[in-house]
Amino acid sequence: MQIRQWQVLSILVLAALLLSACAPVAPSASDADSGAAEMPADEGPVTITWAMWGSPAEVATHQSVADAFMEERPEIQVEIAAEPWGDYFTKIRTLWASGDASVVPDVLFLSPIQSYASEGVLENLDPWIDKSGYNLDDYWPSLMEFATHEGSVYGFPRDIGLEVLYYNIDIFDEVGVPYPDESWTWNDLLAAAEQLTVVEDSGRVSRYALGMEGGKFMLWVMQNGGAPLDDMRNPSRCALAEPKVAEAMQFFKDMMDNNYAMPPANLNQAGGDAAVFQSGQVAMIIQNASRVSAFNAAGMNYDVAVVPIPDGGQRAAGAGGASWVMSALSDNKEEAWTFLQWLQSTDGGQRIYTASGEILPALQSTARSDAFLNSGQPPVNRQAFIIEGENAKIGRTGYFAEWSELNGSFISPGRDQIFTGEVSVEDGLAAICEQVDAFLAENGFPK
Amino acid sequence: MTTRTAVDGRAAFDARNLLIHAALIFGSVVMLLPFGWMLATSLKAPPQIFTYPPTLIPNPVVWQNYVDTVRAMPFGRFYLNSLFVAVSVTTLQILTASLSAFAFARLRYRGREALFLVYLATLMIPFQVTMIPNFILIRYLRWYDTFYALIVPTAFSAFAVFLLRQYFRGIPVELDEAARMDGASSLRIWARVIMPLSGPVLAALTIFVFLGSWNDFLWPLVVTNSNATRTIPVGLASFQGQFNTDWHLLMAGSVIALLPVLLVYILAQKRFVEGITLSGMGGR
Repeated sequence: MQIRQWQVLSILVLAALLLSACAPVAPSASDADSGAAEMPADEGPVTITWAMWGSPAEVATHQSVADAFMEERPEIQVEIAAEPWGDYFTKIRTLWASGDASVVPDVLFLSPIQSYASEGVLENLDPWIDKSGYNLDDYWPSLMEFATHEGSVYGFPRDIGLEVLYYNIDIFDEVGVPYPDESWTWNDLLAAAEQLTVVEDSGRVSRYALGMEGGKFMLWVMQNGGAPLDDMRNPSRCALAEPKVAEAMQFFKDMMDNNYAMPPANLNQAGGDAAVFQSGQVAMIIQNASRVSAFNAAGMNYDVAVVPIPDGGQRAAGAGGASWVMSALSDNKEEAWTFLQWLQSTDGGQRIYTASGEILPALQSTARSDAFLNSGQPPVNRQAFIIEGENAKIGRTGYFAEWSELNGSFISPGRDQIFTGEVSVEDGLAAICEQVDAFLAENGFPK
Repeated sequence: MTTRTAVDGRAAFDARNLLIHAALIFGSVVMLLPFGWMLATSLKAPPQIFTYPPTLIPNPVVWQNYVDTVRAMPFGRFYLNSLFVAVSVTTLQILTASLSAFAFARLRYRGREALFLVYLATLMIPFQVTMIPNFILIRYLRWYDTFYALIVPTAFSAFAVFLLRQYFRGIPVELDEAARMDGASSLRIWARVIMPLSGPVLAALTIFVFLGSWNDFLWPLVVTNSNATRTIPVGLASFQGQFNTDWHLLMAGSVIALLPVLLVYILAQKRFVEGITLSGMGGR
């Protein structure tokens, strides 16, 4: 009997050993801090932590940026904390909620800025900008608005996520349609779409002219002079019930009804716009620069052009992009600022990101440098990005904390109902506005 | 067709057999298709993945996807971490759950049922609610980015205790009493009487716990920060980017990640099926 009990005990001891075997093996953020203090020389390098989301390929680019910085400034060590895109924000919020400065990264990649800034977790960068004379004029017009909250700068957009029209040269040549250029209007787009679309006898569409994510519909609206709200910083009412908005919605709805544009729901199911563009199921997509590296890797024969606008309309690229911010909890703000400034300079991080081919840089000087315009990689007509950038406008998203909820609860679902034909364009827009106005009133807008 | 009774003799029986087999074959195809699709996608080049009409057989077969997946991240490290965490959690959870289930099912003390009810009530609290408090606790213990954070909080489970307690209560109490008459302690009854009679439920629990731990994503993501402690699901999730998803790599990684789960299932399944037959014969 004693032997049996001894066996039971030994199981327990074994379990305890199992646990102790998993003693800390890696330096965590806090260990890194104390590690710096333990350095033999008192003036050892300061370590700042730098968090972002990214695929393995993107993380490799981030790492090369960190390496380049550390080579230039050996007194500052940059430690990367890369998370998958999906739950990056859940994790970062949990870290902040713990209120523990040692686990919160010093510099982070974030979007949207306003909802975080209003929680007070972000460092107000105004004093740092004043002190160092950092130049904000180099950013694309309206872009800094994306990272501004109540008049103060809380972050620096890394890139500008504006859309251009990607087109498949092989399909255009095969059908004999002229390539899109700056002169194209919505009518030219429709005329080309009619020729590019292929409908089989069975009624199945084997090739749509255009693939565009549903969320980008605001591009058409703004090109036509419309906007979601009367003021995107401090709205007092919904502006979607205007005739200009209905006209733009009807334009895209007609494209879908005529089989010119792939319905957004089908687009999602087919793997997204990059997948259908690569497989030739659509001849054109409207998307930001993030697709370039994938299309180049796949060896596609494509080019880009500015997005066609309506007669008498305007170019209306959205001025926005995920931004680098500094945590208000950071213990190393001087070093974090030094890094931020370097990150957002043409000689520093901007050049490396641009060379990786994944982004249209936030700084105009970087976009106009050889790193972007003459990279030797497709697409050839990179000037299209520059033209859209020069005309970038605020207004694709709201610059206040409640925007995500407002958009996610009312505008996006309402838009989908219109696209699937559950409601007419006019009725759908009126219904959205009714809900949006009620939401604004409930939340005390205008503030 | 399972509701039809076998009254119309042998010929009808054969026809029914055929129907049953057809249904079973159909069912297994439905079950296996997603796995087949995963395997096929893992061997395709990216442009092939979303072609229409869809093709099941990759052409050409791109074995390089597996090489790329393993090279894209410290895959071996993640794999070992996942195995270590899943095995530890499974072992510990079965140990803690069976001990407390034994106490709830067999030992008599005041407030036992009330205590059990309160413990069960913790099942009602969703993980998301306790995540931040749990995280703060982990920070307080200085366990952030260590295996402790991955293993200890998941080593206890009200669900496992509930499952085992219900099963233990079905074991005739006379067996305990006989052992006690012979002078066995409670711990010994647990080890020599209850546990050996609980093979089937322990096998089932092993599958549940191992699977849950192997697939767990959010908690490991939140409490780990370096590759030294990250697990497979966290690694695989990084193939899904903001704008692009590397489906071929994601699927190749998923195929590799599936193997241990399949192994555990195959090994435990024998006990599992045995258990069902056993309890059926016991008339429970």
